[in-house]
Amino acid sequence: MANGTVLEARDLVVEFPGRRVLDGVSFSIREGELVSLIGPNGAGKTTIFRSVLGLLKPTSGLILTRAKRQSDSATAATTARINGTAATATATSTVAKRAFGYVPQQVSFDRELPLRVKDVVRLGIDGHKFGFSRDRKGREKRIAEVLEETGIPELASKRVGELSGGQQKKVMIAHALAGEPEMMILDEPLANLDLKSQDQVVALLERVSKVKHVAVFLSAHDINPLIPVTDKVIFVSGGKAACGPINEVMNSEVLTSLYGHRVDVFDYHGRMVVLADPEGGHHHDHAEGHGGEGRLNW
Amino acid sequence: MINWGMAVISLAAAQGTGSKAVANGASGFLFSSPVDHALVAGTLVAICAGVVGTFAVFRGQSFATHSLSDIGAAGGAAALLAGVTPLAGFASMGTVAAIALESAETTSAKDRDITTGVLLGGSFGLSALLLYLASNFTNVSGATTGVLFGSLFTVSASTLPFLAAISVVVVLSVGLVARRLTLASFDPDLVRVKGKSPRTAGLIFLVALGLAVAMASLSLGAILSAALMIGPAASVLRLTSRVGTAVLTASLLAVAETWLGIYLAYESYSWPPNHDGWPASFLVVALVLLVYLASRGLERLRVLMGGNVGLSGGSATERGRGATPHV
Repeated sequence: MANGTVLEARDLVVEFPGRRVLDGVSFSIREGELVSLIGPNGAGKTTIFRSVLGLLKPTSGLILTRAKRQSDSATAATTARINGTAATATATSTVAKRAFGYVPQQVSFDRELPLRVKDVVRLGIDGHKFGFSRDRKGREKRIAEVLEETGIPELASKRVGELSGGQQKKVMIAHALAGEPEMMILDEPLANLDLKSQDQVVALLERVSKVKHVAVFLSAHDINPLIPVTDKVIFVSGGKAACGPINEVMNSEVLTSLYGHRVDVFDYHGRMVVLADPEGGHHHDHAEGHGGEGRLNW
Repeated sequence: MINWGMAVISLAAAQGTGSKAVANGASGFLFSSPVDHALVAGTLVAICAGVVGTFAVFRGQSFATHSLSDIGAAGGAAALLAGVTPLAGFASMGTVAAIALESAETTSAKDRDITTGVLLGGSFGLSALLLYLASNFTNVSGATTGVLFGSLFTVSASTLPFLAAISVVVVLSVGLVARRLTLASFDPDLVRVKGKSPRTAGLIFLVALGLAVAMASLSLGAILSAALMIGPAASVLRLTSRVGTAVLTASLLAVAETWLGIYLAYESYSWPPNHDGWPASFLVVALVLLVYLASRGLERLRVLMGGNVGLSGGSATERGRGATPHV
């Protein structure tokens, strides 16, 4: 694994009964990079995340992670070959879990939940542990720092179940950052947000990657809000993936190759519009309901 | 062997009956042995109800709580049939049912509801059989009423140490898993990505819940115990923004409701229609319901007043909004 790389996946294969969801997917992510995972529904974005997070055991492939070990301040490079045996898969997962901050797509903060924003952030530090917490001073200092970094110190004492969707998303990003990860994994962080909230979340994620040098790996349907901040895009479709800078991946040649039929990519007033051949087989399904014959909406 | 029918007689004898009880007033209340036992037992039960109930409500396990109490009825009936204290039956059945519920491979809330419902139905059938047998083949009087509706005044002095020991186990268990339970309540994957199991915490909590329900079943009965577990917690959860405050307030509220219910039951010997006392379990549950309704009224008042009424912290300016996050 090259210097500065925090995650590398090689030839990742995931099979569910009756179908192959990922078919040899490879990519790498460096520290401080913001990487967008793009693709239509059912393409395998969540499967990639769940594999990396250790929530799902890949059928085969290689995942390399650089993890901060809690007992050793030195950064260690860890390699594990996933060959289907429980022992090696577990070893991979254990190391990976220490290094990642995870933000699920939808977190249900019920109104009955008696938690303030700072309580949710506090759970990002040690919420997974048993027993009563120690080092109260250190934790409170860390919480204040994270709330400041994410730009929501004024929300610290607000009841989290009563915040807007955009505010809750920022709270969850603060929660993930509190664990001092070297990579953040965010599942559809822009879903169900209005444009203003989307802009705020994108700006926050850019600060996380560029100022704190924490790698940000996120999935999205639409690349457009992320174009100004994305260092690298991983486009996944039909179990295959293309990885690289936006202009090297999001072009007609690569997407046509990935889809197996003609796909056109246009620049329309700074926005990227992707159009598929209306006769282009099953991918045409994704265009339906998104306002335009043959338009692929990610 | 416990005799549920003796409760009324012993309480009446302890306080004097009818108008004499009224003359004794509060001092007679505190010097009655069955009342003293009821107050100690009720306090222990109420503290556990506040601690466990808070987590059960905000984790969305109110139905599981109710089910565990109903399933425990079969254990209580089996204990009567076997000639042992009903507490042993309630606690054993509560623990087994909690493990069964958590061990069931449910992948969704719907699956969990189905599993809980099926277990509940089966246990009701078993309870019916065991209560029939206990009523007909033992010398226990009032077995069915005792198991289903309980009686605080039948708790003996020898039972109190067991209740205290179970209370300690319940409170410590919940304290042990509180943080992980809270984190898992908004997404279990947040625990899994840290390499820990949300199910371990869930199992420990459900066993603690089963034990707390067993204690409440002894005092309030299998059918009514869930009200004390859920009611006080549900009453305070929207009025505070801190888990610790919610637990403390729910416990204090449950204790107050229990004590007042016991006092009213004692005083009810002077009430119509027959001047032979009203059921303590009914009076406690009625208070729980009244306080819950009042709390909802207070909640509405907060919305109207812009969120200036409450127990602690947190903004309530958006209380009127729905549960669904908005942008």
